[in-house]
Amino acid sequence: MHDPDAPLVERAQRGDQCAFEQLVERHQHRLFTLAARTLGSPHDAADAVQEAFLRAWLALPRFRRGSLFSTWLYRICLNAAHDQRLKRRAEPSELVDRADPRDTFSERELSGELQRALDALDETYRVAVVLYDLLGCSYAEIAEMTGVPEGTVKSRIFRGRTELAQLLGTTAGRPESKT
Amino acid sequence: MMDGAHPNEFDLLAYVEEDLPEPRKAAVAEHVAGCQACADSVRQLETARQVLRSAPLLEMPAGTRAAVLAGLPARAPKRRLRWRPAVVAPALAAAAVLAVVTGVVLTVDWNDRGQEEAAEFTPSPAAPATSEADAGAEAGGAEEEKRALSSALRPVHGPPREVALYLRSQGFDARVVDSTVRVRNADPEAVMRALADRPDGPVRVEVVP
Repeated sequence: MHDPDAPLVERAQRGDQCAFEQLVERHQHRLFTLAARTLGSPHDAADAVQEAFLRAWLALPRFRRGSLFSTWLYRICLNAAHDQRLKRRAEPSELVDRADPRDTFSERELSGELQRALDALDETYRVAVVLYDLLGCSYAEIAEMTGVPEGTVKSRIFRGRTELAQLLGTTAGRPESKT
Repeated sequence: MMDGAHPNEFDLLAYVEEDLPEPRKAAVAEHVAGCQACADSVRQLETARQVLRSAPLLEMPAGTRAAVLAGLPARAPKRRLRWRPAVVAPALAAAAVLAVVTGVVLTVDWNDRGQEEAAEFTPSPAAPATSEADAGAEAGGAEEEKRALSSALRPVHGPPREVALYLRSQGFDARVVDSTVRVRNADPEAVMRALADRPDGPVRVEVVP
């Protein structure tokens, strides 16, 4: 299996922070999209991604070939996002999060109709459709990231998509809060 | 395959994804053409796919990137010598004995050691320089305003990420922004009490409203 990240990963495994910085550059937006779309908040996503990169850096010496670096990194991000969701549930008062003027595009996207529909999905369905349709991961990669068989991944994509379409259908007539 | 029965969800998904080989593809197509329920499923699968695939990637904010890079502790797998008192005292005693016996003066440069240990927690010099520049360029007035409204506390020993994680474990909303630990909506005195045991160091801590 050819991994385009392999040369940088090898250097980063030896402690080269510059190499890791390039890996951050490569994957930051996709990782942020994954966290933001599954959590529904740019602030929670920022925390989750920050945590994910930290965990990846610390765990990198234990990363073994056999899976793509990106697959491994996404799995770490999903775990960090899951932890962030639990933390948010434990501290609901933090839900009132002021908008960061730098994040207006993300803010707008995450307050739109699609995100409301995604938020209404079961978490496992949401993760499956975001990984497959939004980020273009394969069934096999998603199976590895989420620790379930490919058949389960396909089933989740099927249900996630059909429910999403129904949700979008029922909210289509409502006024958008987009500015 | 079907003989009038509905195709299962795997077949319908594969049909929409054009992964279904013939002759199953033709059989599913024929069924869908005559079955409203399956035609609805196919339409929903296609609609959601189209909406999701046209959704843009969301850019990670430059401030988050800066915080990621500033929060990386150096990995020092080679020499992780710790100068714990239990180790240091006998070592110093042995060095003193050796010095007396051999007449050679051995010096332990505590300053150098301290810097080395600090360096272990300091991000690579290139990283924060560029990331802070990025963050500064994007942040503009809002960031300055935040700084103005914040109250800076006693700088403590790092790394920033560790300080922030500790404060979070104590119930504070702390995060690393541009190498600074930023605590939101907190009583500055309570933050300092939480950090009372932490020695002075280079990590800035500030409380913002």
